[in-house]
Amino acid sequence: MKINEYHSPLIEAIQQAVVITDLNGIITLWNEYAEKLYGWTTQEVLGKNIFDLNPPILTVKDAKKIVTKLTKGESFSGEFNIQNKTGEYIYIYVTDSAIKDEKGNFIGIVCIANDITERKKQDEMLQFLTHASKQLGSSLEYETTLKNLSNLVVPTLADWCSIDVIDEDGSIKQLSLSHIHANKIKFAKELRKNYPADLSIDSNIERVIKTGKSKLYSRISEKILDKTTPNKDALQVSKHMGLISIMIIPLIVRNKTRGAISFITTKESNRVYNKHDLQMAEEFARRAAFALENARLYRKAQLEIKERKKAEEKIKQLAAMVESSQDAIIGCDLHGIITTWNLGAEKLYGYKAKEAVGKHISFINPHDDPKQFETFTQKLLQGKQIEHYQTTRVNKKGHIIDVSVTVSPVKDDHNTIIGISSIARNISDHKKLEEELQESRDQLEVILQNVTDGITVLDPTGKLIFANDAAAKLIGFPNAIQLLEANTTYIIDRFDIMDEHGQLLDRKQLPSYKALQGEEEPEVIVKYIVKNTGEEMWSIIKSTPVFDEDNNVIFAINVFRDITEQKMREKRKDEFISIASHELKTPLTSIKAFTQLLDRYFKQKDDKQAIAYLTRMIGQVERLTNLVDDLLDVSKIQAGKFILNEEVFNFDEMINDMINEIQPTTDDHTILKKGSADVLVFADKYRVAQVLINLLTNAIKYSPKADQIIVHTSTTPDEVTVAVQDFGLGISADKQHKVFERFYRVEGKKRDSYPGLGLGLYISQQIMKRHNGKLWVESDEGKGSTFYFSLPITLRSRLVHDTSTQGGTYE
Amino acid sequence: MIPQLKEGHMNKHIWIIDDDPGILEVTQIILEEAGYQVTAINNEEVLNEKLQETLPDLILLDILLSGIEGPEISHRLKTSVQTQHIPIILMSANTSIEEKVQEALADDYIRKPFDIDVLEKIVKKYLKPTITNN
Repeated sequence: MKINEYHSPLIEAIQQAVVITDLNGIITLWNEYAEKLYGWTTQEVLGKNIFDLNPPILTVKDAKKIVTKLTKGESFSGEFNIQNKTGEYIYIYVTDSAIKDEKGNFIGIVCIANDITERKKQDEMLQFLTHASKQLGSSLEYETTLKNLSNLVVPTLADWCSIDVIDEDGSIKQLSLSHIHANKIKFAKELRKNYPADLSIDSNIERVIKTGKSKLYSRISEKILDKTTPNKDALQVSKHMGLISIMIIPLIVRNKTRGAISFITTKESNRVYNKHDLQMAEEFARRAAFALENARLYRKAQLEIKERKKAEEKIKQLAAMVESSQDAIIGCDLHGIITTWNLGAEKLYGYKAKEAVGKHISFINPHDDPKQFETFTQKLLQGKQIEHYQTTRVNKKGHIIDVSVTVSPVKDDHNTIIGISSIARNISDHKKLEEELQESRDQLEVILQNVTDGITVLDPTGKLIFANDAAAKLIGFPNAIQLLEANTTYIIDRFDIMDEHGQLLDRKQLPSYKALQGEEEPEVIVKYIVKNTGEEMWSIIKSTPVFDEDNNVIFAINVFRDITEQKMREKRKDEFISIASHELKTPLTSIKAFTQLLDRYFKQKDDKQAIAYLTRMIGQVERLTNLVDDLLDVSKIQAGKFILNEEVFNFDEMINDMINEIQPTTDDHTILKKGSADVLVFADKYRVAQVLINLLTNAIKYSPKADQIIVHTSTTPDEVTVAVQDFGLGISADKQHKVFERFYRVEGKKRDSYPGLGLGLYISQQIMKRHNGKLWVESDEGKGSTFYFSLPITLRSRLVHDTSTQGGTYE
Repeated sequence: MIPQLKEGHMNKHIWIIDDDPGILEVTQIILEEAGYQVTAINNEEVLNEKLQETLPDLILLDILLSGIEGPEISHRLKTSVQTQHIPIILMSANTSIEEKVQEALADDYIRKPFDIDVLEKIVKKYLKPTITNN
């Protein structure tokens, strides 16, 4: 086809876009409609290469396809979706034909395009609506429906989509907001808030919902944005979002606007909505509205069903609770006629529900005030509560039951009292238990009151909270009640309280005080003197703290026994022994002195017979003296009055002295000394000597057939040891530990007894103990015994170098 | 007995204070035989009377004198200017006597019953024979 001059007006008049290019793509013709369709003016494109247009309206690939066809002598036609100069997508139906010269050479292409965008969109819309109906009808779930809606709209119809509904309170609530790019939802939300008032999507939605009419903003230019956006940030967001076009369509169901769906396009798709789009969107919105409404109704129905089920379950549970309750639950009307009677009531009262229902409530409480029901009703009507009211009921068998009753009003929907429910619990067992407990408490009280020991209980503040009569009497009150009424300070201040040795105790040192501090001590002996009378009393006190779970002292129990009588007896005994030994020693002193005078006299006369008798006498007097001394020592040890008088002395000298003193008392034995202990010791010289004398006299006594006694002495840096060895009877292993007991006496094989009180070794061991020393024995029966004693060499004795210490004189 | 010593002791005067006549008697015999002048005193009243008249060279004092205790008398004499120079020896039947000696400010003690040698020895210790005075 050849283009002639006269063709021109025709071409311009055609309502189709006509574009002619040569084989290189250089545009040679671009009619008016082409200007309209593609956006470029004839002037802009004439002489330019068609492939240089941006955005491209023809790709090289498509051009090759077209040329191939045309070369074959065929024509080409097809649909293209391209962008026009403004970037808007358009659909075109193109028919391409070849232009040939007179010789029939292929020299150019004529391209005639129809705008089929609307038709394409209609198609798309129909397709979409079909799909949408299918999708929206696929679920009754509200959330799913919403999701489906959004998925349908974005990105097919819009770049973002917002669905808003009217809440129950009339406010607009956004149900969903979706965007092709999830990360832009944030901006979309912000934009909704900050968009200029007249363009504000929010206010537009509001308006749409109010009027029920759709709104279309086909093209929003940046100019409008600049003008109308007061806020820089909002403007920035707006520009960032690149808003192009907005449609807001009401969601109408049964002539009632339920909300709105907003379609928004941005530079993502560059799509511009027109009134066809609006029509389609309205069509879509209708379907969406129904789908949403259906979903909403479905949800509501679901919720109602659920709630009803819940309520039913609750009622069932309640009924089960009432039925299974151990308590007797009875309902009655305001006249007292029983309407319900649970299993608990059946059990408690013995009547079946069918026997009880319809009877007057008072049939189970004939013993009570017959007007009790009226009284209860009256109280309830006044709004008062009746809880845990203890009363009695009579069961079917006629037995009286103790019950605790709680009575509550039964109200209807209008809060009017229409009946009364009564919950009764059997407390007969509880009462019985309480009575038993009381009984056992009473028994305990009787026991506590009748024991001879005084018992008091103090609370943590030291206040007396319990006392028995014995305690009251010991403390000087006629009975426990008067004692409990007295002030604790007053009670304590009546006495001077001392320990066993007479040392005054202040309040903090008292056993009861210590117990309150949580200290548990063994029993202690306490002496107390009544201040006004001077009367002396003694008690053994045992104070015990009682702790709670958190280890706090909750009270202290004091048990005290009066030992005044015993102490007085002991004191009298001590005094007696002291006086007796003194009284015994006084004549002994005379006898001894006269015997010795007589001995001197006969020695002057050289009367050997008399001297022999006198020597025996002197020995016996000595023995008698020792016995009396031993008795006195034991009584002192027992009374805790055995006092040491320690001094520093030379140990060897003491041993030599004692050997010299004892040697003359035996004719059969020679006392040999082996080793030496030339050290200073700090000890009671008289008492240590007493131990040695005791061991030596024992050695003599229990080795009658032997002729030797050996005294071994040795020292280490820490102690000095003495061993007294005899070659006599010995002690069997089973009796070795017994020899140190008080009053123990060794028996010979033939049961011949040895003289003595059996006190010597006991006293000796006590003396050693008081010196922190030791006394022990090694023995072979029949071969003899060795008694050892050792004394510590104390720092004190090491420090003293001066041996010329003042010592006492021995008898 | 050694006669020379007896001579030397004649001028020394010893008071024995005890409530037991038996002890007073035997002690007096022993010490007189040893050559001392001895006065036996059996109660505090007599002691006080004697103190008005003269003073002894040594006192033997029983610790448990009835009425007033020996240590008290000793303490009194030892704290009095007139009598504090007189040696006092306590006598006791008790085995624990040392403490009392200190309390009483006494010079020494002797346990009852005693050996007559020991009595002589302790008295001699405090009454050294003064030949020059003889």
